[in-house]
Amino acid sequence: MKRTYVFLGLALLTAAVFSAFRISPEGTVAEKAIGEKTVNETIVAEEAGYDIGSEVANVKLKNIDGKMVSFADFQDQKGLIVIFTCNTCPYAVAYEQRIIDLDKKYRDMGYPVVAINPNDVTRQPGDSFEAMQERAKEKGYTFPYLYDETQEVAKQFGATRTPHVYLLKKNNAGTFRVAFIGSIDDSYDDASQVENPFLENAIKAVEAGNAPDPAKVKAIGCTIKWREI
Amino acid sequence: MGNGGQFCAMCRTFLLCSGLLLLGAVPASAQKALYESVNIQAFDQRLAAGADTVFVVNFWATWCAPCIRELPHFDALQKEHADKKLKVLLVSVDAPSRAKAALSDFLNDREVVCQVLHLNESKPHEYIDRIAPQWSGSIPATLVIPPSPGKRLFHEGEMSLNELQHWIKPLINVP
Repeated sequence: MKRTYVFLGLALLTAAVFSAFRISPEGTVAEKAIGEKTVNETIVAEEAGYDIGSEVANVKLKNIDGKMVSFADFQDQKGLIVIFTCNTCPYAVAYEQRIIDLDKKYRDMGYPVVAINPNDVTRQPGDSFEAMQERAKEKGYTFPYLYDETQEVAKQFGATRTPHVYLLKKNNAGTFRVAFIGSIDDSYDDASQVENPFLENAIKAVEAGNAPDPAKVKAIGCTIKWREI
Repeated sequence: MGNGGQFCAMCRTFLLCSGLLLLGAVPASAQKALYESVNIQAFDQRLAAGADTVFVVNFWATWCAPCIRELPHFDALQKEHADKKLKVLLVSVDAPSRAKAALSDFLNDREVVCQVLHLNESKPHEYIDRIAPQWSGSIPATLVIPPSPGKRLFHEGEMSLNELQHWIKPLINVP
């Protein structure tokens, strides 16, 4: 027995030493530079996109009914609730009913929901155009659910996660400007525990002619599945 | 027999210590809690207390598929640097109301080498900026804190083991 313990102990210690000093095959200086480049690129990507007050370039994307939908089609509205969302992110799914309810509540007030799915289908097959059509039918979406196939619109906005919300306000020139960026509310897992309905408060502020406060709210969410180049 | 028993007890201690060394962290076992719940203050204090340590902090959740895919990279990193002042913390941002069930189930089914913390905060908009101002809130996200006063590194999105190693290499004393 004694010997077995000693032997096992020594074997484990040896393994530990070897594992600690295992030489990594990627130990070159040239590759270190690649690692650092990745960091810088990430930071640049996160700083891109719209900020509060940015004028939004027109968006034209294919809707689940096969027809093209353009932001220019909403000229008679006061604003738009643009939500980058998807079929597959559990966080987005947790907000799905709230998104449907928001459209019901605010469409008639002049702030309809426009949902945009930015995920790359090769990385997330559950977000294919066909899967989007099925999902919208099953849940009875009352709003456009647009397919951002090239991911250009998500990049244009600077969206990083699903769900990621942009409240747009139409100005006198007929263009849309960003009034609020962020999260629908502060309780993703339980709609009954919401203390701060950020988006609804922002809509109320815009309706009253005020600037939303807070105008930007961060939230946890799923990373947009960017196409690998 | 008395001496023999003591010796065996020593062997067992040795065995256990070697095992710990090999794993490089506290292993998930029946006696040990699977994870530790911390609020944002306790989390900040934990980092501040290890000023001579490189912390690799990965933010993840049990519902996040890409996060789960990259967890083995963090275990590999911790094992590789078991003898260094490098500590990998896997910080779950699962909602507090679900963490107890979801996180326990998840960790019960797996051998996770790294220490798991649950960030017991229900208002992400209040802690995201505090953790990293450039973090938009999507996960996975990884923060590397070098021994002070080094510059923090942050990445939002999945990372390969290669990328993690490139980050860590200049921060630790490689023999």
